[in-house]
Amino acid sequence: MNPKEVKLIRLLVSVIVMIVILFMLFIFMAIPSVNYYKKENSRYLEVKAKYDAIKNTHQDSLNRLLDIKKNNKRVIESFANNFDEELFVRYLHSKFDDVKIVKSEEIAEEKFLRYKITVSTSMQTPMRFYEFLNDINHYSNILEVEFPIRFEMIEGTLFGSFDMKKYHYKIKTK
Amino acid sequence: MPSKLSFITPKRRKYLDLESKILIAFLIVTGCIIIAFAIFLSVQAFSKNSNIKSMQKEIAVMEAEIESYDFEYSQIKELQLKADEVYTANELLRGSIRNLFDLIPDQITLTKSIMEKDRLILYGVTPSKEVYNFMLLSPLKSIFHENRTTFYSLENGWYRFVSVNLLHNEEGLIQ
Repeated sequence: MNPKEVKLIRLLVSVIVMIVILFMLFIFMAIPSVNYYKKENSRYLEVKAKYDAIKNTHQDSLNRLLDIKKNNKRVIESFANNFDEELFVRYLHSKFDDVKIVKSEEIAEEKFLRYKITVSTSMQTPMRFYEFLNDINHYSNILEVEFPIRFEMIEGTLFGSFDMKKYHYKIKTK
Repeated sequence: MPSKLSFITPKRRKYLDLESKILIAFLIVTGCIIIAFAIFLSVQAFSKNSNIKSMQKEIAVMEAEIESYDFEYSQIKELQLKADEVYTANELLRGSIRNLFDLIPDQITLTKSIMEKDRLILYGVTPSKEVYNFMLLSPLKSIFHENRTTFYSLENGWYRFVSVNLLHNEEGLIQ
């Protein structure tokens, strides 16, 4: 073999060795990295899609809650307000002449109903009771007027008695 | 002086020839590129992994918050419905009272009335049975399913009456 042939064979062997080294590097370093990246990326996309969907739902739920809170502010407060007997008697005095109320013990077994109240009044005209019914929905508690409703005229004075229910509820958080 | 057989000065044989140097340089550069690429991908994958972990934590927090918001929402919705129910009942009762007041003609004087869910009992005085029958009983008949009236004559020729009016439906007077 002449020196030129030796040189050529040496070059060829060197190239083959180089290719083998690069191939090994590719197999043992690049491919696992690509696979790991692909796996993490697909997991990331999956979690990101779930994250975006939940973020939207979260925002929708929050907006829905804020809306209903804003629209029912008075109702929520009226349910949460404690029943002030003195204040209610004063309110009744603004409608009727004489007022007497009897409040039941606190009712615990029902979800909303807290007290039953019996109201006895006297008034000049039955229209006062009508006006009272007209305004009761604007009172600071949730109060329902109930049957039986009795009116009796005794010596020129109209006496009325009726039952009421006081509802109470405070919003709970989880 | 030593004799010189060649006209040129011998050069030392190079350990690596030019081709080998080029090949080694190419090998190093390509290897570095592959290693850098692998490291880059690993760093990216690690960053994705830490993003996934933080997103999963946020998802758990948001899910708990959604549950809490929905719980609060359902309570307010219930309150809204209950308040509507109470307000409507009061409004209907107001209407019923108004109707009762409108029902009583000027000639008849009521002394007592008891309104229950399914009955209305009226006590009063009427100048005659006819006035009662035409002016009060007729409208009462159009509202109630059953009407019973008892008259008691008074010394002045008028009548004291007790009128019991019954409804047979479940909604009652508030209908």
